[in-house]
Amino acid sequence: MQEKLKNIRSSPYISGGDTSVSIMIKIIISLLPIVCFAVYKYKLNAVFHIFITVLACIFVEYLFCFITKKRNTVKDGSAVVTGILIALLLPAYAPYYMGVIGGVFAIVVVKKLCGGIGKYIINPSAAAKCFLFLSFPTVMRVYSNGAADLSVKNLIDGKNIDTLSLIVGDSVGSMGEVCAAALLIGAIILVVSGVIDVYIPASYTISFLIMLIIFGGRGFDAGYIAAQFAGGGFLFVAWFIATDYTTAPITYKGQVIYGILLGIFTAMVRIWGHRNEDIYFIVLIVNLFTPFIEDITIPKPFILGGGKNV
Amino acid sequence: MKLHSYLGGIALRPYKEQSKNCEIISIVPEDDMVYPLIPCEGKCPLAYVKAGDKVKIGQQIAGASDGTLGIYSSVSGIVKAVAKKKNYDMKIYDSIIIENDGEFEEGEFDEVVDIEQLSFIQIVNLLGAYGIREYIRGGFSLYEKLKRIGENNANYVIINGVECEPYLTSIYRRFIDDSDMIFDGVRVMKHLFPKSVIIIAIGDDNKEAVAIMEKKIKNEPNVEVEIIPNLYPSGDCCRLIYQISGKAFENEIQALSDGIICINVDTLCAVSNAVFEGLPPMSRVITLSGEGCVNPGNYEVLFGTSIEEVIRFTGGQNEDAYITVAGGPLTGIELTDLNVPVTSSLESILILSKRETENYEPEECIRCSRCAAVCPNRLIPEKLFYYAKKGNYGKFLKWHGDSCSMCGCCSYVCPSHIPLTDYITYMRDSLGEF
Repeated sequence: MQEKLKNIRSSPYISGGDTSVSIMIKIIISLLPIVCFAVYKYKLNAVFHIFITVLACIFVEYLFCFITKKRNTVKDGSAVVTGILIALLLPAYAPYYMGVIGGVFAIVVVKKLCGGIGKYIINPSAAAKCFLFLSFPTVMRVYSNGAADLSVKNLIDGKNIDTLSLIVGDSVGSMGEVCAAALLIGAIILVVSGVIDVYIPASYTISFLIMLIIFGGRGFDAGYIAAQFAGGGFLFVAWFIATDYTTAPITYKGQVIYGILLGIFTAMVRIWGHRNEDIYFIVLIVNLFTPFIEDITIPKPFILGGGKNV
Repeated sequence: MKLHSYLGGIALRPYKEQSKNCEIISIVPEDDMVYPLIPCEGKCPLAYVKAGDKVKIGQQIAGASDGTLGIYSSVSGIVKAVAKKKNYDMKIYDSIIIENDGEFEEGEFDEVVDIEQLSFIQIVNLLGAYGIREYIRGGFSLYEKLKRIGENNANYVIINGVECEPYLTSIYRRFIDDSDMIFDGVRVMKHLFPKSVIIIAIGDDNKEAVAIMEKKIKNEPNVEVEIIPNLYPSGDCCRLIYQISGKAFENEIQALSDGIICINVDTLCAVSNAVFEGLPPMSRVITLSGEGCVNPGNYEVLFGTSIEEVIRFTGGQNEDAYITVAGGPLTGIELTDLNVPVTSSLESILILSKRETENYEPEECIRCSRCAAVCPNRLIPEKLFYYAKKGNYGKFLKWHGDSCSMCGCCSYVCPSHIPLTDYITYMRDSLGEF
């Protein structure tokens, strides 16, 4: 009898939908347009960066699990996603070891030491970007081959910029940030495949837009606003960084508040700040609000009238 | 009537093709019959017979002290013993064991009285004496429900014919094979509650059942057929009452005070048998399905037949059989011992193959919020799981863990295969100790 009880399972006896691995595969697929564009524009530089960073992330995750004698978590695919994200946040002409340093920092310090997937408190990719940016400010700001980053400066200064070049990827920036069109295709794949809800990107975009109109000093200037949206990594953060499951609130109301906070802070650094990369610091700051946001947005249960489908 | 849709729920793959078109077949038992004396609302039926007594079909063998919760023998034979036996839900009850002599000798049944001459209280007492309970797991006794709602107080009588769990087809078959019996049950309800609106709720994948019932009730005032969207757990009585009335209740007993009574189709058939035929409830229709069984179908099984005998009678298991489940795949119980009796609360027996019920190792939660999206109670299972693991009762209650209805939606969708429902159920049940 006890022998039989050992293998007993509880209901439900069927399961369906996604698995953790399939979610990660979907995220990787939605990153493909951006990766393809990076490879198209930066050729072998992009290929090497992505390849090296992903390998570094996988290896260090394996090594960490091996040393600490924990269950091997490489096969859940999250290290690959983190690797691709970090690589896309690097300037194309940065040295290749940048990705390795960023990957080790993200996986070991930010992710694994906090308890692994689902437990960490700040976004590993954004943290790696900030870490690299603070540690290697010169190489991390060389966005084009030797030239200074003009479009980013223009964006902050409020000068006229060619929005079309931001959309088709003809501007300068990190590998993943430059092409707004590729980012939007990736975002559509993310939403259509059901990986993310639109609450965070939508509330982020709307609050950012309102802040720009009120405090941007230009009113409703379509060219300025389009440039703010398309340039400087806003789309990348809104769709791929801020929507990270672990660091975003789990309640729907909380996700909206989180997006609004991100929008307000991002507009502040865009209007009064100095650097384009500040947006990643903003993500880290708003991540810290998540537990508090969750605690104040406990949804009403069904019996208290919370189940109404309007 | 406009339905109120609720948030949450999942559109599950139905898996009903295997048994949907199988007509109801009666099973003739040969082995010993076991009748567990299951308590209900604080009352416990007591055995009227002792070892060595001879019983006939329809003879009362147990009942509570106030004359309700009667249990009737479904075979003829000799009482072997009154002893403790395990039920399919792993609980142990005092049970009456009857050795089946295979004669099926009928005893004396009650006189059938014309329904028009029976008052509300007479019918309620009759149903109480017959011990009719809701034919679902953890169902209340119908006597208690009818008495609480009282005469003339019902606004809605909801006949629950929504079979939202995958594999189950017995109610669908009842609509097709026993539509007269269901209609007779509706007549009883009409007699009991003349001012109420009677709503027959049928899932939208059962188009044939809808057509049959609509034809039947064409000339009846205040009887309607509602088509309920095919979503799990739409057939849960709280969700069903919400969809029809727009009011949310924690359980069906609360809904009674608002004049809403929800009755299962199987229960209604038992009522119609009791009132029009004078027959106590002695059998129920169950679904036998899953890739592991040789002859899936819908079978009418006498109470007390062991599950092992049901499976044997229907051709047994094939080599794919992996686990046997009592109840639906989302809320059922895995059986370790097949030698347990069929009772009125057993809806189905599923013999699932390994392919159908892939057993995954739980992984770390990735906080994807899919559990929150499907929860029909609008809870955040991820948070409740976290606080259940920590044993933090305060936070568990703050996140409304006590209103979980254990439907299993969160465990079903969890991409990390965490048994969220188990953690929450365990925590919720241990709250009762305080």
